[in-house]
Amino acid sequence: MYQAYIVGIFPRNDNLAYKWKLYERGELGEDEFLETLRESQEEVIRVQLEAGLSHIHDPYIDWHDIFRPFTDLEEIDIGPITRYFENNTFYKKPVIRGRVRYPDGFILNYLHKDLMPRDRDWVASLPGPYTFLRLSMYKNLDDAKASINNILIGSALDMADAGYKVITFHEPCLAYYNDIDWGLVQELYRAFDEYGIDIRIHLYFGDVKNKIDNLTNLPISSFSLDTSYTDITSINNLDKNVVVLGVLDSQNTLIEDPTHLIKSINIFKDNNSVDTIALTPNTDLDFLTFDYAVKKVRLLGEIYRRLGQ
Amino acid sequence: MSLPILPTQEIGSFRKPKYLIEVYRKWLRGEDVESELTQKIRKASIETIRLMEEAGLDIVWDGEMHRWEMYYHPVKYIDGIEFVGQVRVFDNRYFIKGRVVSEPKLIKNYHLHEYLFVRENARKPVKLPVTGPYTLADWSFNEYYMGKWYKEERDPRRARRKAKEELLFALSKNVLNPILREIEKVGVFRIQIDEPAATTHPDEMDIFVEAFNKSVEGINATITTHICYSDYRILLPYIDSIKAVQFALEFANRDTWERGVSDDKRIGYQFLRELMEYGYNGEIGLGVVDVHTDAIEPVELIMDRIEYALKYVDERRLFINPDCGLRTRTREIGEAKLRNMVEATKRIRRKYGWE
Repeated sequence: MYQAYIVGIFPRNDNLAYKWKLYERGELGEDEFLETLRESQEEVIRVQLEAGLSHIHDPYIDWHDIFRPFTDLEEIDIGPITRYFENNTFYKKPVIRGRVRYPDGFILNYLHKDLMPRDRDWVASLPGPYTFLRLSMYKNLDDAKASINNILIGSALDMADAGYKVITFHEPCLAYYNDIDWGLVQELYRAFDEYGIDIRIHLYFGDVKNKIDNLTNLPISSFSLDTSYTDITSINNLDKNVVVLGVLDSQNTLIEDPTHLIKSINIFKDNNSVDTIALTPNTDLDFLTFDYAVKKVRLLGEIYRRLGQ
Repeated sequence: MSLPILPTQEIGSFRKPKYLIEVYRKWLRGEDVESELTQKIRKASIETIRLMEEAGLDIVWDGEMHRWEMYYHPVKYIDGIEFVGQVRVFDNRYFIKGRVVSEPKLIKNYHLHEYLFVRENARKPVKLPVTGPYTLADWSFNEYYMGKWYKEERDPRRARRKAKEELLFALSKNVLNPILREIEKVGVFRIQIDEPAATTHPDEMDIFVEAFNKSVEGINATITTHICYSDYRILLPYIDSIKAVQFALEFANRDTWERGVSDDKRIGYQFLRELMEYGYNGEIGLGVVDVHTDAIEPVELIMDRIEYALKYVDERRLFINPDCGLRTRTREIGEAKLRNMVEATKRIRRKYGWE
């Protein structure tokens, strides 16, 4: 069985980016800005529906970066502008000053449940706890760990209550870095144990072939493989209910050949014991222009359709 | 041309005046405003050169008034890269990105005319900033070469590297080197190769260095480089192989605003110690003002930053500059930052008798 959905932040269309600039400069009223934002959010949902994806991701075009909603919380500040891995994209480091509490319902202010379609399952993204910790600044590790768990558990529970069926935790640090303290990763994910949260972690910016043992030992339901870094045809004997394959490169306008991808996916399927393969882009489509993001969503839909036939 | 101790310089870009931005916008929309644009560019260029001279900088440029932006400008004159639209850099800041559709080839030297114009109008030594090959490659969608390799190479990382290498060397050979050769012929004081993307991919540092050196091969001029917002430690093993006499780096953005010259107050400048321990003996361009905040660094704070740097870098090898181009700030704020930077430098020179 296959699923198909996008992950993370979607690019703003040119009109929204332009109006956002005007709004920031005080040259556009709030009503007009919010109307443009809403129309753009509806468009992102429409693009996914028209492509025939199995799950629809919340629009995520009002998130400046994957951490930014959380810097609105007490005890977290916005830190220095920092390169996001190996990209010409930057984020602002969260600075955790103390022990952060998660106010109930906080994350719902950054989601758009009212726009989501009733006839599909919904997806939302969060930073994974290890990536959140590693990319933040803090003075006290225990406070930072407790804060991140408060934030992410609270957010995930609110998302699940609101009807988001798949919550994808972005963990590029687990793929990118080689000096990972897997004991710490275990500890961070164990904190979720008692809440019954279905955790899918999304891995990108690195080859995880040699980390699969560590990943399968984590208390999570699934993880992803980024085909821009990992040759999925060389993965064997994986026994999982769900595996996510990041099959489209969100960092290149090159439109992949669906036949070539389907061939690789079939080899992966034959060599492993996986009930559900979720097909996604390898990372946020925000690395592309809006138009190319739309093309990739359509391609994802095409691959999903062809595999289902 | 002789320079004082601790020469002050701008990095490159400066906010364009409103009248110029308006014409550029029309031009970007495809309106026929070429002659108006040329006229306004010249006006803004001279105004910005004067602004920098009057702020007291020792080495000047015109704030890149001839360029819409450091990536867009070169790509417009490179056959084989097509613009596809805007891509986010951070928050709501975007740049217009290109996709490589064939082997890149130079259409026209896009720096010669602007360089001659600035040099003719400047009363102080001029430094020419040039976007480097690695940054051009890294900021483009590499469709053409990736399309060649992604099906042939089973290992996706190897495919990406081969694709990058081919693009990079084509840019060095077909674009950068011919441009610099022509500029060299008319005489140039300093050329700054801007490579903000330099350390972006640690496993590509070898090809970054090779492309950089291929670009400046045979050029008889003082070559410097500017790199920012990255982990400079990645540079260390390669720093002696890069054919540049100066590394102008961003530091202030990662520093505190507390006064003092102790390590805990100057946390943004810790790389200097590692650099000197490594044995680097070239010039450093010290970023002392943050281009990402409107707050204007007090003269005393900038003095602290310079004095801290002097613990590690000989005064004859230290240049003083903003972290990066000041186009992110208004002209008024940019000018105020430059004036404080110059004043702090003058006070340090007076303090140590280097006037």
